[in-house]
Amino acid sequence: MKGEKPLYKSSRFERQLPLIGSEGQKKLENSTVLIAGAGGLGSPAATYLALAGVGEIIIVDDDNIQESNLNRQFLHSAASVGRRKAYSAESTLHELAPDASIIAHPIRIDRTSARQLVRDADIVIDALDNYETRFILHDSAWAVGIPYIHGAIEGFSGQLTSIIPGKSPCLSCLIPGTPPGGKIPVIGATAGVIGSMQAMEVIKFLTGTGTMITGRLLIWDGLSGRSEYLKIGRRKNCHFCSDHGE
Amino acid sequence: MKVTIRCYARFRDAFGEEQEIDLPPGSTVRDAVITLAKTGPDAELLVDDAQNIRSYVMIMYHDERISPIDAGLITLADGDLIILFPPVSGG
Repeated sequence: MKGEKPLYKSSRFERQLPLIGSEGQKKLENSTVLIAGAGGLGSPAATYLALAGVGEIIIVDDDNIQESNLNRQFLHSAASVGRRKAYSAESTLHELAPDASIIAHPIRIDRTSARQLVRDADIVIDALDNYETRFILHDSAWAVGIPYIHGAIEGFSGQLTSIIPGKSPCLSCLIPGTPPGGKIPVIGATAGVIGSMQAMEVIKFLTGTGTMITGRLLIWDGLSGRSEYLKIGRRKNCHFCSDHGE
Repeated sequence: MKVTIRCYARFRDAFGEEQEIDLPPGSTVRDAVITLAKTGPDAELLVDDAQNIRSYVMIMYHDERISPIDAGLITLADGDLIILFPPVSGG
């Protein structure tokens, strides 16, 4: 940044400005990110995006904080057990990044709310914990043409892909079926890895840097230290793609 | 011939991280998955009662994704690697 007049009064972003430039920083500042879920994935994703200088974060979660959340959901403290996750996340993010606008919605994501939520966003982070809601939110994001950064975790493993309408396969192409559910064990650090990577995808998209993880699914295993990329193409007879003229 | 199957997430918990299995020549990806399923108590995680691979099983072979429906059409060679992954859902 030699010779460039600093745009920012504080030195808050001086360690990242050499990477994304003041133009990139401005793009982050002018962006709105919708984060669906203020849990294990939402905690690192929202934190790193707020700290990076994203101007507006909409965080949605209709759950209350339980003690069993605290091994991974660091947006919430022990003193916040019983409180709405969305409001607790809002307070924590305000403290970390006072200049960011944080909008908390303690509501359930259904077809109606999803349509309204995506309308105001430039990009969506899927930090949800079930596929039923994921498909609802994905379909709404696809309809308005905004990227959907999918992440999911279990135990020591996680997966991630960035779905860009018109450019990549949809979530239905990727996930034709889901294994039986139940209470899923998880190590907090697994959520930390995948949630942080979701934040990275958003930063790359908003600043126009790097290469998105698109058309491929990252499969990450913390226990063995292995990761794979599964190439994903459009699935023959995908009901969603064929209904949307893809 | 010998084929290696590498498993992720709950498939790893049920069948181990990596298993080398012996198969007769001409075996398919489907045969390999069925053989692996028989090595653990949780066979139903991978295959149904009719020995069809469950629709959610993600199969990677030669860097390509194979649909469970097409797994019976792909003939394996000695030394091949198959990767199995269940979509995870937690957040």
